[in-house]
Amino acid sequence: MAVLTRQPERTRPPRTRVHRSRPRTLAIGMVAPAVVVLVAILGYPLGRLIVLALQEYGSRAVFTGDAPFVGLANITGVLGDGAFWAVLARTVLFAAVVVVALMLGGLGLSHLLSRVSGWARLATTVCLVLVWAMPMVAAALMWQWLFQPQYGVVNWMVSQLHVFGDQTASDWLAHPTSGMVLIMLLVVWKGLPFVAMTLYAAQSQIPAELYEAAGLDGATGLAAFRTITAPLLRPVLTVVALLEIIWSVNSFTPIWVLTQGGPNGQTTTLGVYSFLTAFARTDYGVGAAIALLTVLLLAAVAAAYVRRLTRQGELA
Amino acid sequence: MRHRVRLIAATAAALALAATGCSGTGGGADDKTLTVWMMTGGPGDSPVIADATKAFHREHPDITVDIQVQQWDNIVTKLTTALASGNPPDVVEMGNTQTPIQSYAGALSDLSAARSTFDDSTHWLGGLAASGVRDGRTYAAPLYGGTKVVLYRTDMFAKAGIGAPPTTLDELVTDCAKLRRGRPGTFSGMYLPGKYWFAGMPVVFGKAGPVATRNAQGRWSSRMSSPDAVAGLRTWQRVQNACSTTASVGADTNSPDQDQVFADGKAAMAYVKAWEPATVLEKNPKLADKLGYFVMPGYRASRTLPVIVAGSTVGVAAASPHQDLAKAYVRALTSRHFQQELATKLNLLPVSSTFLPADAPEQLKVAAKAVRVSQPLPNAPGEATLETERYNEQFFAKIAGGADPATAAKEYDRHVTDTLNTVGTK
Repeated sequence: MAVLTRQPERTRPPRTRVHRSRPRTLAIGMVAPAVVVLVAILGYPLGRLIVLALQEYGSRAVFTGDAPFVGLANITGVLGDGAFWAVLARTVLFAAVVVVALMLGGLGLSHLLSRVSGWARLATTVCLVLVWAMPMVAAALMWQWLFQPQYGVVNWMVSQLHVFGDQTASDWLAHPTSGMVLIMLLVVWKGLPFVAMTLYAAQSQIPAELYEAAGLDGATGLAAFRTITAPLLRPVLTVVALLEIIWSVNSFTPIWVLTQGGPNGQTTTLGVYSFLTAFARTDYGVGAAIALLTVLLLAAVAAAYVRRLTRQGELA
Repeated sequence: MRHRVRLIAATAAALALAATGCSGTGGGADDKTLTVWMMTGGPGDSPVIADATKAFHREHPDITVDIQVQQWDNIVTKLTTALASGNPPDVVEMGNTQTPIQSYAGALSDLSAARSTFDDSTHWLGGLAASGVRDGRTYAAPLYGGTKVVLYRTDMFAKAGIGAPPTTLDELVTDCAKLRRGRPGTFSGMYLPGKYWFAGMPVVFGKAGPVATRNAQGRWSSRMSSPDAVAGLRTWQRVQNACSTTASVGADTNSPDQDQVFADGKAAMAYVKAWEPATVLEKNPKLADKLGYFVMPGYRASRTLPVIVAGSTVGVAAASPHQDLAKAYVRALTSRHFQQELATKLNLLPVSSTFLPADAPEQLKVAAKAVRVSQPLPNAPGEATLETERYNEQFFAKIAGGADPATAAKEYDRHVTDTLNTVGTK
């Protein structure tokens, strides 16, 4: 209505200002709902987390609401605790192994997908999607059954090989190293479909002429991969690797279902450590401090990554 | 990518729901419904609970009682979250070791004034009732005792030429050897999963008495590395290894289910709660006339192994708007009549020794005998933390798995002393 009444005064300067600012208002208006939702579902919890990390918040505070601010005491306390550094080192190792295995496995699979015949690709894709679709809790329980002492199928199979002796009674999850390896295997197995499918999608965008031309020049196999596939996939590889780093550092469900971070806290990573501190030791303030440190750490890694990408002009 | 994100979001939402206990809505916002949280395996899980509700309805006929059964896994977190919400369940059942953390936090109403109106509350089982008391005030009433006894196969004993149940741990080890002779490695003389710390801890208690003690200043110290306690751990290692299968070293009582193992004839003895024999018979009715019971023997024939006083307690949410109704329901749950129903129908040990009916099942009478020598666990909020961390479970499995008791005990003391002194101090 307002627009209609203003129409006769078309030539006057203020109107031009209205006109110029309209696209901006429109843009803001269109972005606003998304921003509001983001702030609500990401900003609010993050803000609460920061506040909580600055408070002395124990089980009593839950009921009385009486939680004094203690400044950075929770954070300095965590940083001064040897246990935190041990958990951090374990988390870094865990993430490194998982991400490297995922990237190599994913590349291999995507390469396979781009080479095999139609029906083989379909079969592989269906398998990948099924693994992908399985809820993590169900997958972890399955893992537990596979490796159960006395009743586990894997224990039985390993024993049938007659190479490692009788392994039916082996309790893999009761030992830190084998427990950690099983968790990593599960995370890699569950994560592979995403990496493989994404990389395959990226790889199928590479024009076939490039390979033909390279083939004419004598570059095949590894050389073609090094000079064509790898450089063209790099932006996707980097983003996928970054996501996988974040996901593996935050990995909670497989560890919680399989070992609860044990034995003796030796499969505890940052996510589990934060949960245990907050909910088992009912020290919500310190638990929040650990979570906040994790966020900062991941943000730093992500920032470094994105900066490198933008500098290379691959993301802009 | 979007799918994965969505999956993660869905999983996270499911986890959040599970953690906050939103699967069942909390209390009744209206004045007509009393919400009662009961634990799986207890009376809430059985038709017998209708008896308590009937008694309650005599005074409050117009109130609907909504019984919601909860799982033990991560219950401390779930309870804390539910009790702190604006709409908590009115009455909650808790494990006895989980009670101090709730009364410390202020989640439970003070029942001290109402206590005298509960049947025979002066004779409540000491160790069990103590978990509901803090600074002389009562915050929870005992609901039932979960004391354990040894269940054994009379036919297997006879076949192995064992005339009477063992009276010492040494005899137990000898009997285990006799029972296992000529049988496969998957057979246990006594099935003792390594993570079964409710079986391991008494072996330590029998030698060393209480492992964690509290000084006059209220500071806890764990003494698992004292020479007596280490000797107790060595005995646990010896008994576990001699009686139970290698596969059981890292197992707990649930996975595989120890009642199933016993029902399948894969063990001649098992250390069970008084209601477990019924489960065994359900799985294998043929064993009906082949079951016997005795108290877990100790180091000397004159003194049985101390049992850990365990069981459930029941309290009223501090934030519940139905304080009087909730207390009335607790009164019904702890009444002589209902307790006797629990004993005869569910084989649960009544909260007062005077409640034990004359026609109680045999395992319950044996259990009542067993509690004469008992040892409570530390009555501290940190005990619930150790449980959530599964610390004792993993420790006893580690010892059963061949770890050096002296070295492992030092690490245990560091962790347990720290936990008992830090949890529930802020």
